[in-house]
Amino acid sequence: MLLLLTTGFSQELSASTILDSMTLAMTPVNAQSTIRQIITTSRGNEREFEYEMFSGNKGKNVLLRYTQPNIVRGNAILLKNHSDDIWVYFQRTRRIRKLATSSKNQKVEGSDFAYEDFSGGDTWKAEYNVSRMDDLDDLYVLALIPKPAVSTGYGKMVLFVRNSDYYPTIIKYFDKNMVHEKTLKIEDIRDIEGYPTAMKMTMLNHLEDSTTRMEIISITYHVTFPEDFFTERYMRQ
Amino acid sequence: MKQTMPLLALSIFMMNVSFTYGQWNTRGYFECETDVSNTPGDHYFGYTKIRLDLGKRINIQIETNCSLLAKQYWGRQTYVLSDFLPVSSNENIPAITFNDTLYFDNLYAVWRTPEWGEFVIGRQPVSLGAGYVWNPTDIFTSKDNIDPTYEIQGITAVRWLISAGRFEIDSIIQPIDNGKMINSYFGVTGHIHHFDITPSIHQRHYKGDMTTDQLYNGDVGYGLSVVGEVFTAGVWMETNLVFQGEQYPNTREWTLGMEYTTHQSVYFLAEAYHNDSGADATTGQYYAFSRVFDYLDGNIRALAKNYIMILVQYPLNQWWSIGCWTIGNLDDKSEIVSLQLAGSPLKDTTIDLSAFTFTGNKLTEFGVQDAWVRVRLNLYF
Repeated sequence: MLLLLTTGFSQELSASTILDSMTLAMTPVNAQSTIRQIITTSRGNEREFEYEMFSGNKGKNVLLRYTQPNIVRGNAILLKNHSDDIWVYFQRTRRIRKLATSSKNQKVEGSDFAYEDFSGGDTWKAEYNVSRMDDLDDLYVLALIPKPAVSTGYGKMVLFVRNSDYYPTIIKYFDKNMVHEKTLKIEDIRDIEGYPTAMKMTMLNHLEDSTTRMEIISITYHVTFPEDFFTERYMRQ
Repeated sequence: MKQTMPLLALSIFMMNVSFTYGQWNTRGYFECETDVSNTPGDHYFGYTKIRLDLGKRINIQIETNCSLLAKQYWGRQTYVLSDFLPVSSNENIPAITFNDTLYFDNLYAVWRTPEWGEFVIGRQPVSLGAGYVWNPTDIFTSKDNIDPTYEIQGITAVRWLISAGRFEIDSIIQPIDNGKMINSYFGVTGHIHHFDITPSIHQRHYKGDMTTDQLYNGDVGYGLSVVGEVFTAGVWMETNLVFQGEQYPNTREWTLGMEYTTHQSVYFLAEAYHNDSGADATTGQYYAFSRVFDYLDGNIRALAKNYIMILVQYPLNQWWSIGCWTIGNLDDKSEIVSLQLAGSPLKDTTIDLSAFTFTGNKLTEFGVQDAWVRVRLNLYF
């Protein structure tokens, strides 16, 4: 009976409510993590990166600082206002460059993740028209179409969200021509400090036949940042 | 040699401390460059270079950093001015010789406080402005026009950076010319929509004659740097207006640039530059010696008045990219065109293959040279 009630209730949930619940589950206020990223090309060549990732104000501001390999150690990327403003710091030359929005959908350090993939999902509701597609077993399926004024490299996203805890397990990305460009697989979801956390994520690039795997080495949500942490000055530290 | 030995001893000591105690943050690279040019005649030259950056956080507020740089040249090391600039004669101009070097490029301490921001003292990296090749508001350093993304030498200065609400304030004082002059800079960066806007003021203070210790205020400059985007394309503008007193005319420099990346990852960049102090257009005659010397001395950022730079890059795959760029001197109609293949074939390794061709007659800035090929290898540690 309870199962029937639950199922009946879930079918009535609007796409907007599911997206709200997912956003709530996915976006802690602050986070600090160390991440290993492995890029595998279509020829099977691998390259590994490690970086520290600082996320503040529910993913509105993100700072990435590379720690490995040596060639990029100290380089940093600052994304503010949900990736609308991007700065890149080059350790070797100690220079900072501001990137234009046209760079948002470009690869970060040759990976299959774009700059805009690092921003939180907090603004999805405001920036996308969301609708429900047919459920799949224990998953809600949502389609997100960007609103006309929104600057993004994607034409559509399809989210597969667990109905048990509203955590997404798969995100399919389509380009402006509705070609299925990438698929993000979200795995090894654990409870960390009260938040469901994907310890592994794999981005499959269907157009280039490459993959980028991200593994969380360590993470904490019990962190606060100084007021001026997400600034160009902090990128240099 | 007298200077080299203590530096070498110090560097060995620091490396020893670093590796023994593991408390210093170390990074650096080995660089090897080979060049072949016919400028004029065939020349083979190059260098090997090693850079060691050491940093140590003494406590939560204080850190020290240094960069030790050693460079050893090979092949042709001595040049006369007419080898690379359009001058009629090399008389009374000493030849330029590139000697092997070992020095601290940077040697500075940083003191950070939550209330008072960040103080940086010593020989430090400073890079101001938004321009890709030309930065009129950067009164401290200038980039190599044909290699603008290469590292710039540090300057000895005191710098204070502080965030004040939505603004970032930057103050720099640099003693130069054996203490006879002081460069001072004050800039405030604010953000409006997608734009970073930095108005700045700078002044050169001269010391009086040997009998007085007073400083008097010389050139005053007002700068403005703006970087942002219009219709998803990156745009930037930099301008600097310098008042040089009654004896000399006021001078103005500006840079205007844009960049755009297509969905196919093709990257375009264009930048224009104007400099009032540059030489007037020359047709059929050499540049005035005074202009050439001002340029070599770093008193002016470019030889002529008007330039344009265009760059196109495309990533071939995750590790390799191909590019083409050109810099044109719009006054004497000479230009450099370069093709570049850059990549990272192995972990912590980059290689850069560049071919340059120069157009314009022998009286023009870029026409002195004909062709040049450069191979640069970097190994990072």
